Amino acid sequence: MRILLLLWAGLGATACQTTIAFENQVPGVVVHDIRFINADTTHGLDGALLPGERSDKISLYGEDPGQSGRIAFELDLDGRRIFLEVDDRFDPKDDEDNRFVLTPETKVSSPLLAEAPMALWAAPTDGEGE
Amino acid sequence: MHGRRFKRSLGLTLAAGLSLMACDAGAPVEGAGGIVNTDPIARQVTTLMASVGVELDGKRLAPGHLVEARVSVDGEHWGVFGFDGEPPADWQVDTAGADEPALLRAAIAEDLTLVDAAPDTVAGWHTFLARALPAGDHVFQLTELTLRNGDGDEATIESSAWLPFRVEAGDGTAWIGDLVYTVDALP
Repeated sequence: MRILLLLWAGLGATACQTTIAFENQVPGVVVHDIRFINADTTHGLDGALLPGERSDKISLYGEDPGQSGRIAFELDLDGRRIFLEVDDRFDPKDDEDNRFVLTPETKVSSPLLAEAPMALWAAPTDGEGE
Repeated sequence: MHGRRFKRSLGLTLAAGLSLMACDAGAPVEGAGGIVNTDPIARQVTTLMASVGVELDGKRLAPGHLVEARVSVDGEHWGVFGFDGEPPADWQVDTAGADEPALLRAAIAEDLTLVDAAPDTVAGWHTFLARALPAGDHVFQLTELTLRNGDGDEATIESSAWLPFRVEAGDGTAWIGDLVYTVDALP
């Protein structure tokens, strides 16, 4: 009976927890310090995610853990690193295990460039790409 | 009475302390400082340099007439780079200082102004960060050289010639050499 009660309590606690896990599905890219920021609270990893690696679950806490927020991370390529933010806000489901997967197609931007004038960019040259 | 005041005062102090702690949770995101190189050992060549001259009938064109160069490396577009200085009004050949070549400095790396549009995906930023040359042998091509005078007359030299160059480990800049182009006439 006691075991059943403990199991019930354990299941109840799990169901009431909102978590997030991060996954790096970008070949050849190491992602550092990926974090989810909502309601002025940062939930994140202090470390790197190698290509194909998935983080442990991180519990979202605060008054409204399921509130939508932004994902930010640092992209590293052979020591050259840039801070980027995901354009689409992430909307975690309450009381569930959420997962954010970073892919090559994920839309991102640099806050530094968002403040730069559009004239920063050079005109296209005969359609020749980089 | 004093005791109650003390308790109230202590309570206010604790509340203020907790408020300050709560403010810490909303600390700004760090790292929005553009691209940085955190590993000097992994430094790669991001700048190519060459001296460029143009000859007309065996005589040197004033270096101020060289305005723009389109560069390819290893068969891929590297960028379009400008030369310093203002072009003289008329085409000037064999004048004082014409022997001095123009310096071409083709730097990519952190210069976002050289890309046609801001990367907007993770893959795009990855490609941008990868714009550097690792140690080894490479091929340089100055595919187009634009000449201009102060009156707006322009001439473009096209070339398919390529120059091999070598990058040593740890180098940040590669010297291509002295390039001299010959033209038959100017507009």
